[in-house]
Amino acid sequence: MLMAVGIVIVVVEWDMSRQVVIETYRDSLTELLQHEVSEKLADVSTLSQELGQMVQQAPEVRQVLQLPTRSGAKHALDEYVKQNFSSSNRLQLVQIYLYDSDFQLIGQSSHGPWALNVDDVLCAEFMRRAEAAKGVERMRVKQSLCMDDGESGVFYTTVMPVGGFEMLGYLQLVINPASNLILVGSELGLPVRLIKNSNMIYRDADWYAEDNGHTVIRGDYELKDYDGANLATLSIQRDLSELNNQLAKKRNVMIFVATAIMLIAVSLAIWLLKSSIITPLATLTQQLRRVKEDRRMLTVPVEANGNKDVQKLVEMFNDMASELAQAYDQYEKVAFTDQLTSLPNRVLFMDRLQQMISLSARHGEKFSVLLLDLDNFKEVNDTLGHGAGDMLLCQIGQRLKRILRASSTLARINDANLPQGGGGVNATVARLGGDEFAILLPNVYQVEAALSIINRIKDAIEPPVDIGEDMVVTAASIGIVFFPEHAEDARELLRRAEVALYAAKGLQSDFSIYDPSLDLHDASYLSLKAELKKAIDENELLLYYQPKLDFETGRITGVEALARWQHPQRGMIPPDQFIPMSEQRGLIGPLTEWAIGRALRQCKEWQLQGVNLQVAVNLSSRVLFDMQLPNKIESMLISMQMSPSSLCLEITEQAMMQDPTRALVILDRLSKMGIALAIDDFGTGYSSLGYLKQLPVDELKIDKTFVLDMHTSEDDAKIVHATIDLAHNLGIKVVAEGVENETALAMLHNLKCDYAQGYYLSRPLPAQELIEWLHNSAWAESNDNTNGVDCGGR
Amino acid sequence: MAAIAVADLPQVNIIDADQLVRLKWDHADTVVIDARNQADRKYGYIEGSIGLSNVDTNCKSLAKYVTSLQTPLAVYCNGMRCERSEKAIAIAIECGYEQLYWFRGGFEAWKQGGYPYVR
Repeated sequence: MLMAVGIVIVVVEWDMSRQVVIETYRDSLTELLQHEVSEKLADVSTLSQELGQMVQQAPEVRQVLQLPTRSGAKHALDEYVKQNFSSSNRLQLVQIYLYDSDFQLIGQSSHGPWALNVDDVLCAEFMRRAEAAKGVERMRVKQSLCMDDGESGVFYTTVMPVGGFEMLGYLQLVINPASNLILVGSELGLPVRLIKNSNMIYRDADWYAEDNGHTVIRGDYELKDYDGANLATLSIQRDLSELNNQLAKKRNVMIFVATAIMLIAVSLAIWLLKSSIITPLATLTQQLRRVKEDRRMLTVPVEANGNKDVQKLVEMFNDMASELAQAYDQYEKVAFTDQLTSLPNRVLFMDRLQQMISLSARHGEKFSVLLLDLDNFKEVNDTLGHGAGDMLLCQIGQRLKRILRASSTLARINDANLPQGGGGVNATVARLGGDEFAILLPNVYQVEAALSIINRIKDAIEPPVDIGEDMVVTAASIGIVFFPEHAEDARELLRRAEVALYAAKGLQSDFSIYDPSLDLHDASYLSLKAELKKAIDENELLLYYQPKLDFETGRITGVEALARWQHPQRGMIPPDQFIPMSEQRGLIGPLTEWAIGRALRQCKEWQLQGVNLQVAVNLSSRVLFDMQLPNKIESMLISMQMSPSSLCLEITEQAMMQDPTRALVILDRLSKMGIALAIDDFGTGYSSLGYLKQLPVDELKIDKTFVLDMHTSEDDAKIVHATIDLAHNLGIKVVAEGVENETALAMLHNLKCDYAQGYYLSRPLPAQELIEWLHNSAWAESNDNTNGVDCGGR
Repeated sequence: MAAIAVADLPQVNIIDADQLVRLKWDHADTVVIDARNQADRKYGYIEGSIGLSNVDTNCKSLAKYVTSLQTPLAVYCNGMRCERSEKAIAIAIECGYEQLYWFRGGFEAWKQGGYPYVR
């Protein structure tokens, strides 16, 4: 396109310059003609003067002038012409006139090849002027082009005095200069033409008739007389075809050169454009792309290169970007900050996680995500109020933030040789909601490093939290996932961190690293979780009951209620799967309440059937701190008209030890209500004897691990023995779990254990089956025994 | 030096072509001497001038053409750079001529003035 325009310009320019060239040619042709004609006229002048000298020196002419009569002039002149002139002469002599000193014509020649023999004197007007001359002028030779009145042509006349200073008379020569003038053509090699008043006097055979100014140009010379009047025009022509050819050749060369120049110019322009506009714009675009990927790039200004406009654009972009960055900051503060803790919220955390993943994709970095929740937050909320809960969250949030700032600095120092990029993302602590915090740890991708941070977190959380009037002690469970081993997208990472967290809770461990085996169900597990609430609401959950033998009476006096989930599609789901799930989903409270209610109702049913059995229900550590629990149980007992002694609540030793003070408060309350209390899984925790003494418990349940190996392991037998003694010293009854054979039963009997529970007696059974079993069992409770309904025979 | 000496002399008048014509017309006895040699004269000379080369000029040869010391005597040669006329004038001064006209422009100035000449 540009090229085409360029070529058009060249062609147009060329045509214009061609016109100029032709004009110049015409001018130079005219000038050349002028020069040549002047030379020819000078020749004519000189030749005429020489001829005049010769004529006037001719003796016969002198003689005529010296005769008083002046006769014989014509004869003398004719003689002279006859002797001296031929057609080969360089001058075409037309006429010679001889005058006396007063300009009276005394004779004229009539011979010669070009003689005209007209009566009138040729160039008579010019003669009159010569006659009018005064002083020394009269002696000067006078010459001029002139013409007669007729159409015969142009003449050149010369008037000169005869006889030197003596001025005997005058001689007038008239010649036809045409033959001399047209020599111009042959000398220049150009066709020549002479016209007089549009009458052709002479024209070369090769004169171009077509004279359009394009193929042929013409130079004119105006032949003028003494007054400057036009006499005739002498012209020469020049054929332009050769010039045109040359011009065409040159034009092609020009077009080629112009094209080359244009190509260079265009390349140069493109280069300039590239360096002044395109490259800076590309930089700008690249920055825009970076900003699109990572908003934090907004604060990085683009270097302003390129031309003024682009620089201005870049400056405007930078201004706008920094304003936008500020606006984003503001917006982030509002939109991405948890209002309570001022920590990043879930949205921001997910964003950071996403960024981190993007960066890692580029730099191959690894990192970890921790998910943390507080073990007793619900209790704090329920017992001390939401204000206290909020304060707890704030304080914990601050602590996490503090230690992570230190840790991430540490991590970065330790990993100083890591590629840059990941270092750009700081460790992030976010509150995802409730008591759930998430922590993004760039560069932490090894178990050891993660554990060291977890230890810091634990240390930070451990000190009591001041929530105004009270000091609260809390602990956290932590789930850990590593990128990219465990998942490669943000959502899945967080989900798996959650799985790990629940695993930690389920294992009653501080933390758990994600393991696919924890997550066997994956999708089904999640759906199960979702279904749990429905299961509770729609009575998909069942209670199974395992009988408890009273050694003293040899009867079954109580049962332990164990929850089962009869899933419509999946069948029976064991409690160790859905209990942690319910804790995760915050359903443990409702589940516990349901279980207590259900157990009490069953108990009531049995009573109506004449079977008195105490029902034991397990309390999760989570509900242990629900200060409303005693009230709820009380209202259930009242509404069902049940004795509190029909109910036994089992609490694991570990659950109790998590917050012994608080546990003491609630257990005291339940005990005072008349509800029996048992410590479950005794021997696995590290409860101090002194503490045990303070607890208002009625029973200890020795963990089945000791009981199972009792007959083979002397140590276990000793432990069981010591525990029984210890408990009895404190006035506490002992239940042995895991009794699977007669030997164990006998040993326990000998050790004066109070109750036995285990597969040797019966596995957990549905309520109806239990009744059937009781009927067929040797240990069946007698119908009339009304004293064996409570724990420990109270 | 000689030129300046000749030109400064009171009896020497430097004239141009027109003045020569008038001199001749006013004093018909004026003798016009062409101081060039004969070869130069072949290319043309002022009609009525006497060909006397400066080399041949002496009081005797002068006397042959100039009748008295009071007779106006005009001398020319080829032109401004030609020294013959000057030398002839110097000789004429030696010989005692009183009215000397040095046509310094010479034959060149004559032709230039448009005056006729012969060969």
